Amino acid sequence: MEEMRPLSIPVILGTVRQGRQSAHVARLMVSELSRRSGVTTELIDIAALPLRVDDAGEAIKDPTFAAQMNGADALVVVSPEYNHGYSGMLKHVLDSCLKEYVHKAVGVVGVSAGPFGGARGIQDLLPVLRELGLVTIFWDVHFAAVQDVFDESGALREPAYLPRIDKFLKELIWMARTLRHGREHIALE
Amino acid sequence: MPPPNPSPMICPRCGHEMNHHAEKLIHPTGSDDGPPDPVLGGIVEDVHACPACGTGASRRSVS
Repeated sequence: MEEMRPLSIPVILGTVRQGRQSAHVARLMVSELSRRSGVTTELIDIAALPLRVDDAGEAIKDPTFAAQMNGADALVVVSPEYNHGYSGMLKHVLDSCLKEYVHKAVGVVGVSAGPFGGARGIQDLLPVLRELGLVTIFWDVHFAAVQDVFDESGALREPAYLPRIDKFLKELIWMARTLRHGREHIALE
Repeated sequence: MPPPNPSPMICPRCGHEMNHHAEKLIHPTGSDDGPPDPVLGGIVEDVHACPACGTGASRRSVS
């Protein structure tokens, strides 16, 4: 019965910056997830969320985003690196929920204009995800020099990214299935 | 060790009995949250999931 329900794995586009190249990355991840059987996905653009900036945390919870997180089995977070860190607006959005994330899988896709593919931002984001109750996987995807990876229409120029994404998604889906079973059938003692 | 909640949580979506799979320590930010546990330093929220439909829900742990 539980296997009949598809896994829900939304992709969070974690930046509001104008001209963001991470949008190409997020759309690619949605496309690759959509090719998997037994998985549903959607793009969640944090720039489109109506979150206040005069408060923070669960006090500003958006019902639609909270429902998406409650219904998710796993998350893909597309996280560009700005000044050696993750986006402040991504943190603002993630902090608006808490219990919705507990015992769910998360994988991070780093993006940068420079050579490190967002690796420094990912390292800083991991303990935040852990405190939110998410379970991180050990595969990342790093889009370095992202301006060269996609053409102006957003088409992928570098096919070498596809097998890396495949490994990342296989691990994420395994973790999502395992954690779903645990959430729904294994009681805390 | 605090006693468990007296009754199982029922799924708000489908009415099935839910599985209690986690306790999350939350740090209160307002007076509405009540006093923190003096030992744990926060408020414990019991997190549940529905085996039938997958819905998640939570409630304050009874201590």
